[in-house]
Amino acid sequence: MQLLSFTVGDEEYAIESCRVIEVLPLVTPRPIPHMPAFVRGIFIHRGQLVPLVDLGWLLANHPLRERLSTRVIVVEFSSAGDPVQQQTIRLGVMAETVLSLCSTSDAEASLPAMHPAAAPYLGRVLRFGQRTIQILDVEHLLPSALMSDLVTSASASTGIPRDST
Amino acid sequence: MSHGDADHRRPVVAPMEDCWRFVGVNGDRSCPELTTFIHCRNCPVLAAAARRFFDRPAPEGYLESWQEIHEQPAASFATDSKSLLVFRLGDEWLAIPTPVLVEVTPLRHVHRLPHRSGNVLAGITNIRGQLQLCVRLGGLLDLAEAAAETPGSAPTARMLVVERKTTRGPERWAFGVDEVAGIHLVPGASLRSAPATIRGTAMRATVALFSWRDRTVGLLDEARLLDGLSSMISR
Repeated sequence: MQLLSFTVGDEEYAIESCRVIEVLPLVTPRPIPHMPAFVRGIFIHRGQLVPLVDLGWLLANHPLRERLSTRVIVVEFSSAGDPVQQQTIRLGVMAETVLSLCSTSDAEASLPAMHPAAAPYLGRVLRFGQRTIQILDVEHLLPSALMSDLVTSASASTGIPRDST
Repeated sequence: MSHGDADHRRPVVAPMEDCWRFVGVNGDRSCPELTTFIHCRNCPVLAAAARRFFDRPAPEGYLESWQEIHEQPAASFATDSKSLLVFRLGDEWLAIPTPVLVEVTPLRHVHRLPHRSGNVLAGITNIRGQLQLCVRLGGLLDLAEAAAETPGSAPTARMLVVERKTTRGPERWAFGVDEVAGIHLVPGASLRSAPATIRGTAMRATVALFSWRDRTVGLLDEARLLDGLSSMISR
């Protein structure tokens, strides 16, 4: 399995590349009031409104530095729950040093996911030479309450064009 | 780790160790690591320098210009598009599907084969150390002007190598053309079927026509073309 690796704070993390639609340069999101700090707002991606998650607030408790290598990873996944009502959810994930890919088959050691209750998105930890990389599960990045709001708003007719895929 | 404004907006620091300019491939190639990495682009020092290069604020206007682009709805491409190599043979503009193309090379010397070389078979030529049969496409397609000789010494003349898999293994042919206009993606909707009047024996390899830069280009069917070549050569 291919992973897209990046850094947040001083640590390296990765997202499964099969979830990744596109890696964009930084965007200027429109802030949404009363959202948790790690939701920077929403931005427009290919005509769709997509929430933007700042992994710095989520994993290192500070906003990410805005460098050239700080990028927005656009991921897509199906919502959990009833397969009939499943929605495709698109999410923008901000991370630093989004520069390289690695393959899980090259990992020399691996620690299974521990799933802390407060952070269900933390996945396996892999060791590649001098690098230790933790996989993030994008489906659980947003709290489930926020996620269910996203699903219902996407299924309601909001005038936002959503493609059928 | 501090994330103060001063740190955030610090000027770009050139890499301390720009060794590739002095001892690397852009210098005198005296770096001992070159025996391991062959080229500086494989060396971790250069990779680290590239990471440092991206570790700076974006130039003014850069992010805004990209945001405009990726806010636009994704351009849709027709799924029935064909990738075609367009080339000129005499006065005729023709195209072959890109998958059969192996390479486009400069014209090479073609050795005539006594008693075999003729209107269709030009001879054999050396392509990357392998002898390939070289044919005159103009002779096969009965294109009068082009059939007279292999394409002249015009600077635009090239040799195309095509290949197809057969049950006897891969089959390669080389042929000269007067000009190669590159590879183009042609939507299936713009392919018109060739008129019956030109679908005689001579032009039976042309299956469709399309407009390209106010010219009409004939699309050659690779199976018919290569079948035709095999039958004419083995006779």
